[in-house]
Amino acid sequence: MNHSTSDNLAFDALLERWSRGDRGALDQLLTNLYTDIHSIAVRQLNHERHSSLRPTALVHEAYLRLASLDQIRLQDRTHFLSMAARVSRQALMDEARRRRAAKRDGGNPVTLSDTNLGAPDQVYDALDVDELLTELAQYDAMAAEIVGLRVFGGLSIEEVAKSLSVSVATVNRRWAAGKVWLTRELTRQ
Amino acid sequence: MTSGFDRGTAFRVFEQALGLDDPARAEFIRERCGDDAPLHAELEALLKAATADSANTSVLLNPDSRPIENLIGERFGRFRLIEFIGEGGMGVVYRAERTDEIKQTVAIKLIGNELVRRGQERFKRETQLLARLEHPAIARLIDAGVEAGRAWIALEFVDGRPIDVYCEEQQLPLRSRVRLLAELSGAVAAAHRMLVVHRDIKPANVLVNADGVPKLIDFGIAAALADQTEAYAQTADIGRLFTPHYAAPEQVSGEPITVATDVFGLGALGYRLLTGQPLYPEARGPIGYLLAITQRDVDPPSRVAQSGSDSRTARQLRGDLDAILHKALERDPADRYSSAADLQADLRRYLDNLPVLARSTSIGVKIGKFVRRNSVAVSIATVFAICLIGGAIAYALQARQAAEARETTARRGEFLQALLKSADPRSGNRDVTVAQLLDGSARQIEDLTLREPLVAASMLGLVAETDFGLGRLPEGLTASTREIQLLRAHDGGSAELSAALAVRGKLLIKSGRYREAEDPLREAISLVEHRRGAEKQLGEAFDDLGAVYQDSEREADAEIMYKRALDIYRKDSKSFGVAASDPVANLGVLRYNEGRYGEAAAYMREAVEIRRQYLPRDHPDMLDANYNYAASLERNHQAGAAEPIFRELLASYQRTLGPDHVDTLLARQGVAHNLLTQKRYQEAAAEALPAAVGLSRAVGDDHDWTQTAWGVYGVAACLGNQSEVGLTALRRVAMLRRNGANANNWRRAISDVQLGICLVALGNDAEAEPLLLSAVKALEAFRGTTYDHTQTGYRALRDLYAHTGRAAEAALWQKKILPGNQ
Repeated sequence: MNHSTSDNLAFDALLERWSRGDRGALDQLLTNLYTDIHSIAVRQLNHERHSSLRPTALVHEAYLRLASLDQIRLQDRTHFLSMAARVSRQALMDEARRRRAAKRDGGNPVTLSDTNLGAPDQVYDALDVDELLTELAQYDAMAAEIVGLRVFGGLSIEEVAKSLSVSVATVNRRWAAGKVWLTRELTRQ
Repeated sequence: MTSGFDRGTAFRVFEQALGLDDPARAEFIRERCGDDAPLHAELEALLKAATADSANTSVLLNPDSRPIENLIGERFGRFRLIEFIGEGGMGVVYRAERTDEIKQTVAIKLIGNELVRRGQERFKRETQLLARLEHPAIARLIDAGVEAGRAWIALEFVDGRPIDVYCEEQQLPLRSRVRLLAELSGAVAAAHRMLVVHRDIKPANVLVNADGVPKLIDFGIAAALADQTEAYAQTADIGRLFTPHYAAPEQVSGEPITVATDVFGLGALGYRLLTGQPLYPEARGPIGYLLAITQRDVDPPSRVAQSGSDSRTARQLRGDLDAILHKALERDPADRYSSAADLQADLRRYLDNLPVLARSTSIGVKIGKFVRRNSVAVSIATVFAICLIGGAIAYALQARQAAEARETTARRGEFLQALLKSADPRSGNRDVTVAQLLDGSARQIEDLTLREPLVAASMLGLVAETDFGLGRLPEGLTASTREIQLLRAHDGGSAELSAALAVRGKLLIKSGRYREAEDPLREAISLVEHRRGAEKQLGEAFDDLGAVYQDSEREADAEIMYKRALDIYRKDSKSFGVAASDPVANLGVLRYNEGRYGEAAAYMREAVEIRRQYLPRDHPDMLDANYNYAASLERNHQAGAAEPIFRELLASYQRTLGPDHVDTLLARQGVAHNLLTQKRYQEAAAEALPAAVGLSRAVGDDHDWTQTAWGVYGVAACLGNQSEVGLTALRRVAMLRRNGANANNWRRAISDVQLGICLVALGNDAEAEPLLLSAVKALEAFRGTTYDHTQTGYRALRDLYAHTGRAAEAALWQKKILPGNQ
């Protein structure tokens, strides 16, 4: 069966418009992605009572799901992933705030676990991560951006370099610095 | 919060310090901190953390993280990089030479930072193991190490072309390609003996040098780098987890990787080299490949070559090579060659013109196909159950295949279940797997229906098709119902709707709900009838609708539908492939049921000829078509013409399943029955006896097949001058059918007729007469006067009265015998 529906075409068209610099298309894509990632996050959190989210996994699942609709041609998956990383962060933070607000009623905090940040058994409060990245952005916006893409989007060093149009060496150094700083701040008692 | 220093300054100084070598770094920090002690302390702490971190994270602290292009001239172990060769999934590759007086050129692979991490120790152990791997067709691992946090591997330098490019450039003949594949299988087998699995066999990893010697590169490196597969999987995107068009199903689904994975890889490589096409060439990207490989078997290589209009290659592939590749590419690892050595041996047998072993197990049941065949199979089965003595055979054959189909379906179901289970968050595995994709999408389609009803519908369509393939009919119907509902409510395109309706029709037919299938099929037909490019869909829908009508005993309507399908297929028989044989076979069954055996045989013959072009000779669909053709001939009083076909069927089963398999025994009984029809009693008895003995052993005496076989033997023996043993056999069958576990009046009447024939032949008229009279009466009541066994009974009574001199009674019975049955 050929399921090439107009919706997929619309998705393709949005991607293309965005790649031609249409900001409106990006907004539309991000809105769709946001809803998607948020619902995946909520599902995972509901299923995994005492565990943490791996944001990288969220983004990949979102990617898989979109791609599966009809093997959409994602001409530029780096761009997609970096977009997804930003959206993922937003969706997670919103959910974390919601849950924190509901904590008294038994809601669970959102915690993060990501091997990009160190040992996989370490978990961090999602809101702390967000707050620290916001702080880091004041010192070195690019470092904060890089850490965000790595942690929330699972992008590799090369993908980050491509996404930000900077050299691998630049990404390497800033990632090293940003990561060490972030983990140190997160584990600071 | 710590205070006493500016956090922003601290970070910026720290960041810059990281980019400096040690003496310069100390200097820099001293300069920037001055006498700000808290800032100094903070920097010390950060740098200490960074140093600790670098133990885990390879090159983080490498001050020299220049772009890789600048590494020419750099030294790694004993080697110096000379020239950039290329970039692969794992990193970059350089040509390098030894720095000491020994002249040696190697390929050095620099591994990306990501993969090594905590795995350095393991990396060293693994590479030491790999260095011991020596085979002429494996590029040797010469050295490995970790330098400045960067892992590197020195491999034997192969100056060659990727094997697919090489084959095409040289326009290598088919046998030479098979020889290359055999050589590579031998190399992989040698590695397996050292417990090393390649994991990533594909054309890009096989280089052929100017002398035509193939070399496998990157042997076992994927495993050495995988550190913990979990960690690997987390950072890798789906495209890096497996190579589309070459990865085995277990790799796609994240199941354990074994030597069978390499057997699949070799099969996929062979498929590419022999057909010029990768597996599932139409599958786009990793997701497309994933869906393809979890849902259906690969197309037979010969058919792929045929569709590429390379009919010479198609001819060469048909049969042995089809079977070999099929066996290497079985989706269940347990069904593949048990080792690369076995694959190599079979390829050698092919090259030496010896019978290949793959043929003996290559009978795979095609689920989708089976459904299509079902209507044929069941009708023929019904017909055959009525046929003299041997009638049970067809039924038995079909029942066996149905059981096999169910088994395969169940296995696939388990496969999917396992996938889903591994994705269950509660099982502790929280990596994104392919299964989560399937599972997740299934669960979330409902959410999606509000926002994107048509996308949801298309996903439901996919689910319905997958369920159909897996035999999960109720689930498939649920998905299908919802899909159609959404398409109607939101004005989905007519192409989508017709496809959805056609799948629904198939699901209903497979569920045995023929009548309900009529409406969706008719609507599907009305939607595609005048659309160009939808001919195949239309043909299938006509054929399916025909099956629906046939089931409702609306034979005239069924015939119209089959003929419409046939008209479509005949316009361009090539492009419809084996599907074109279905309406032909179905028309054959219609004619058979009408008793027009001559016409039935003509259709059956055409079906056989179409299938022969596309299917290996031992394929179940092929055997079916042949059986039906032979049965039609036999009933058309052409038992002599049917004989070689029955014998060929027996040979096929014997070859593929061995002499003691139930299907082989039943095929032997078919031959026996054919000989009996030809009145070659002694030969018939000689075939029937081993069949009957074997069936007694295999399924027990209470089974109808066994009793039928003993019946054939009894009659053949009686009429072939071994009346005593024949009589004993027939008495035993009659007794079992009267008092046994599966006593049955109708079957008892049949065996009474047989016993009566034998008694008449022996001259025991006194016992024969009452037995035949009551059996004939029972058969008339059960099946009417024209029924085969009734007619046989009439003949026996006529003969009995004729030779006891009771001419008037003989004439009475003679009148009841139809002209064709004299």
